[in-house]
Amino acid sequence: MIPERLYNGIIWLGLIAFGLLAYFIDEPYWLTLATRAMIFAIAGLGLNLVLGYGGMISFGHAAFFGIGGYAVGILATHAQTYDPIFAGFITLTGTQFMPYTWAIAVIAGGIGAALIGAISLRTQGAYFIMITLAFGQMFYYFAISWPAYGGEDGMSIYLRGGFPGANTLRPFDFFWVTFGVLTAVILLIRTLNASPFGLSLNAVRQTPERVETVGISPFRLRMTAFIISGMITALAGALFADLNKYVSPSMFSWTISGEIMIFVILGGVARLMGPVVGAIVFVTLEELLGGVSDHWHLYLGILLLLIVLFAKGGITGALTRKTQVQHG
Amino acid sequence: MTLLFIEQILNGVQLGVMLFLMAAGLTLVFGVMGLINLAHGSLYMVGAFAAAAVAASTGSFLLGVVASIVAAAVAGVLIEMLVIRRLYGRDHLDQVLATFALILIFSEGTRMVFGSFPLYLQIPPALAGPITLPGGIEYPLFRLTLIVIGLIVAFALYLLITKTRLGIQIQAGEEDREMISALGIDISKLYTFVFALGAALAGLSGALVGTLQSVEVGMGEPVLITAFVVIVIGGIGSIQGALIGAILVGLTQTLGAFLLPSLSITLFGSPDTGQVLSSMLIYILMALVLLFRPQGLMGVKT
Amino acid sequence: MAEPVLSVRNISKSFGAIHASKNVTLDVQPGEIHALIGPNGAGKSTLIKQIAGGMKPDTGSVHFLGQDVTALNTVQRARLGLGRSFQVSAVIPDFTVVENITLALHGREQSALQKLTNAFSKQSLIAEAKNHATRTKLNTRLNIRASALAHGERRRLEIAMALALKPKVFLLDEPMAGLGNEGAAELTTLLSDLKREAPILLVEHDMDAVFALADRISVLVYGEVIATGTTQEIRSNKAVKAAYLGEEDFA
Ligand SMILES: Nc1ncnc2c1ncn2[C@@H]1O[C@H](COP(=O)(O)OP(=O)(O)O)[C@@H](O)[C@H]1O
Ligand SMILES: [Mg+2]
Repeated sequence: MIPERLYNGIIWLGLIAFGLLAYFIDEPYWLTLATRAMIFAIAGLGLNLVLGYGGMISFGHAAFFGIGGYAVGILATHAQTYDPIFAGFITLTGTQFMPYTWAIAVIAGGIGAALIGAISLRTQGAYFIMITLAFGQMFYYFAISWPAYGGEDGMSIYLRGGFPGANTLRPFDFFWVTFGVLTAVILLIRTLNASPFGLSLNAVRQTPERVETVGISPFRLRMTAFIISGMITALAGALFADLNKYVSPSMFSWTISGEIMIFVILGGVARLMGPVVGAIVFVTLEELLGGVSDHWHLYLGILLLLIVLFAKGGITGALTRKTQVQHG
Repeated sequence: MTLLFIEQILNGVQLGVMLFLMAAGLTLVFGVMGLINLAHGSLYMVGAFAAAAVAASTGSFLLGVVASIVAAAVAGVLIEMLVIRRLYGRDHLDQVLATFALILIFSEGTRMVFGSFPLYLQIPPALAGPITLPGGIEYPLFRLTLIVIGLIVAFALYLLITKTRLGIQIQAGEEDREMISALGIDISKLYTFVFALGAALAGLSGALVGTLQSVEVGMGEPVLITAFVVIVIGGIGSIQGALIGAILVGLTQTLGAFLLPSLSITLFGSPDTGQVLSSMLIYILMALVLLFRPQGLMGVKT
Repeated sequence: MAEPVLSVRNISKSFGAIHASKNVTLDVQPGEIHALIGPNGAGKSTLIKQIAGGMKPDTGSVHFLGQDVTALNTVQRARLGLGRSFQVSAVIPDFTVVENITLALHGREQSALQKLTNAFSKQSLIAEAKNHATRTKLNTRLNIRASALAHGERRRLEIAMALALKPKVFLLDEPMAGLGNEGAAELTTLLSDLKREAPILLVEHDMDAVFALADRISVLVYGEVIATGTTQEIRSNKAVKAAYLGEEDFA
């Protein structure tokens, strides 16, 4: 058992070391795998904010992942065909400049989360789970039946989006761009969790009636968390679209919601680096087991079942002791 | 047009009663044991595969249907005793995760046994072809049979729950989980039975719907999610709510897919908008119900 | 009389056949402790809930600082200055004593949705939290999680969190429940001190405490206020005696 802070630092430095190692021994595939894991980690960090800290069991985060992906896909398609998205009193053109596409993906994810949250956050418990799952599925069917952007077939992005100072086509560069985003998101979550907002969110998970009586609205807390969470997961979706140079309705599928949840559970619920560890372990297992057996989902299922029944707290819970902060 | 419309209404009811078979088990298990079971769709799939395998090897559709019920019930008893019963006292997150894990295991297990290609169940010759209904409507006999089966099951469930000792125990369980143990009822047997009952209904509906569509891995989850929409609309834990919600969702889905594209052609000159809208219609219905009655149509306010 | 801080006017509330509040009218004057007593199930907690905002009355209204607050929710009422404690402790189990009190302070300062600074970085806030802990004799337990506190300590933490809100009125639902004689005596001293900061509507079973503390007492039976008056008036009230006949602690 090591202190959680040390553990967090080791994970973060480990990613840097891995990036450098893969570069020097010239394994671009490793870099791409690690990039994939980091993107999943970002999605999981988003979910962990509502699931772990806020206690809201969202089984619909694929909606935000897909929204982020489609934002990038749509912008790229218009950029590639020089066909404006909207031409009227103002003209909106497509773009493949990552900071822009990220911003739009994040805004779209926030709007999606506000809409889903406005309805689902009026309920709790089992209702909330079922409703988020249902809305996720709604987006899935929407993407399938929407012919303008590829329908069932999705869209190809012929050229990965650009980032100033990086050649994102090189796995090495894209790895560092993603690492930068991951680091920013980790810092954001850490800041949020340590703030009065985080304190209240953690309180609302446990005793919402108390939070009300001290004059803080549980609904507003949950809604704020849900929107930020949707934005973060949408950002992951945006990166995922650029990683694969392809988006399809499967980004919205309920299995994605389940997998994002697995990242959080494997790594450790409500632990800062939980989703990062979970995503790394997930991608590693997928690569190792998926390579030797077609049935790696079977092993994943068994592993998940064992963790839920016998090892709550996930990997982080097993390896660290929670730092008990002394305030005075 | 009216004939076509009536046919679509019947299709909606048919979809509705099949959804009811799924939703009834989900809502019973939630009402009595407080468990949210994502693996319910897997039991639907198990039923469909059992039916397809038995019907193919014996040539009897009826045996296939029997097999679907038995296989799903047995699978239900097994997972209840091995996994589910450890989850009753746990929070919803654990339940969701563990039953999600069961989906992965069931899906992959089925793929290992049956492969990735879809199987097909043939409509039995005696039920193939159309039947002429009063008013001159030609309607597929098999679909009509599904409606009848669904209604019979709904009625049987109603009798079981209101008229039998077992039903009273189930109701007592929904009211107050501590009470039934105070009444000296063997809770763990009751729970296993309720779970197996729900599983059997899911398996039956898998076999019946599988005959209309195809039998393949992953077939259960879209139905599961639609069944969630049904019970959210009806009110979680309420069987009547499940029936009303199921018929509402069945009709909305079917009529939406029938009417909206043509409406969209007249309005916008293309069916696209209508198609997009119709794919989202039941979720919009759910959202509307939640706006006005967050506890669902038949749910009790807490 | 001065303008009451809090007044409940003609509140009724039924649960099916149970009338938990029947045309209840009472008020809390500046500087007083108004005790609400009555047998179990009389509707005391239900009344507190309707005052605090967690439950809407069927008919009637609640007025606070001259404003009709009947339509406001719990959060809005808390912000206006209603400081409530729960009959069954509702503190945050995983939070330490300081964290619980600091949460209340952030509620009062409305910083939860505004500031991204560290919740514990402001020294004056932490000092204040410790201050409230000291007043409720929790100063040696600052970094103990609420779930690990003894029952009596958790009751005091409830009070500390209400204190931290600097409310305009305290609504305390059986703060002494399960405290034992010594604990109740200590809390009695604290409450008599507290009333200088804000008037208190005190629901309490402990009659010694009620008679020691209360300026006025209202008696609730089957949802109905059968008497309101000073301690003397209530002691000698026939209806009250009849309602409490056989209850030994009514001495
Ligand atoms: N939410 C509720 N639903 C139904 N009955 C309730 C509810 N809350 C309280 N009651 C009933 O109202 C009556 C008053 O309860 P309560 O206010 O808790 O009494 P007290 O606090 O005086 O002991 C009791 O009979 C109780 O059973
Ligand atoms: Mg009470």
